Amino acid sequence: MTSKASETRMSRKFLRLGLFGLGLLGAGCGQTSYFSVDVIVSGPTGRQRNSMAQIQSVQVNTSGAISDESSFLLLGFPRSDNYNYPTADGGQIIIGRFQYGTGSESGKVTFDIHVKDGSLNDLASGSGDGTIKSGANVAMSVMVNPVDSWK
Amino acid sequence: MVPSDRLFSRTGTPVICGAMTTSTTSKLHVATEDDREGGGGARGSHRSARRPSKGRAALAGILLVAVGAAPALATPSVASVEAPGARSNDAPALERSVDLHLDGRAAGRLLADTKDSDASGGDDKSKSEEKPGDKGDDGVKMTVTKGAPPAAKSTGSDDTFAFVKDWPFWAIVGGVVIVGASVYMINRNSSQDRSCPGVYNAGCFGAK
Repeated sequence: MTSKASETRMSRKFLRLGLFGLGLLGAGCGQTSYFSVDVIVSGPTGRQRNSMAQIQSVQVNTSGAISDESSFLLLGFPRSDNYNYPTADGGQIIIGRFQYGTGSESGKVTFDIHVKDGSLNDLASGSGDGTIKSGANVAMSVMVNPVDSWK
Repeated sequence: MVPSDRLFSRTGTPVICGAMTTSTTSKLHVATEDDREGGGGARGSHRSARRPSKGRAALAGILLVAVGAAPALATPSVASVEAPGARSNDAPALERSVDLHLDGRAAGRLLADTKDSDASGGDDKSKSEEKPGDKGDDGVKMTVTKGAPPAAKSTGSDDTFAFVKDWPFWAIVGGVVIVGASVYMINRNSSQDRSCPGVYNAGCFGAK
């Protein structure tokens, strides 16, 4: 009878320990925070659809509170001739929208974007940063300014 | 221990005749080979073995009345259990066919002892003198076992795995299973490529 009681007590202790461990495990799991980034070409060039046909690639470099890749090319470039670009307020063309996730709980992430032609020359470039909202998706836009040759 | 007035041959013929009435014959049970080997399905055979024995017992009773109280000891298989020291005058005739209602193991031991006694000859006699309580007058070792031996063994194993019956054990097992499944799912989901919503026409990057 006494041994049974002690056995039950031991089992409860094990259960509590197990739950505590599970709690620790759960606390250790970090949340991913996201940025939803619109890349917009500024100025009159940014409103001309035929100018967009020169864009061959868009390179993004990230810095700050990042946890993963820091340099990548946006997908879907070059766009097809009949690609229907979305536009932002004022009729500025959004050449691409991408999502970027970071495991960091706080801080800022800086996006440095380079729009390039077929010869990998910059057509436009710009940077912007966003503040992490833990576990949330932050919408932001980065304006890239066309180089003189592309204006 | 079966009283001496219940001794019957295979045919239901009473072997040692005590006070025998019709009420006693209804309680008779003759231990046949079928009864012993039947195991779980022995009920039917047991029942079927009883019916003829009643009739035979009645016939035997009539015969006894006719013949007198002459003991019908000529039948080869006799169900008989008797204390070693309490033998009747007819016992020598019964020696060869003693059914002790023993289990298989005890019967095996008995047989082995009988063979040993046959092989050793006079030595066994001296042994029987040494241990008069263990063996009968005729040198046959009488081994009495109570209950089924395997059941006695299993009691030890029950004690070892008694914790299986307790709920905390199953609570712990359940907890371990749940934690394991959770860890597996978390691992699987984290390694899975997160689908990129269509709104992101330039793709999804960074941490998933």
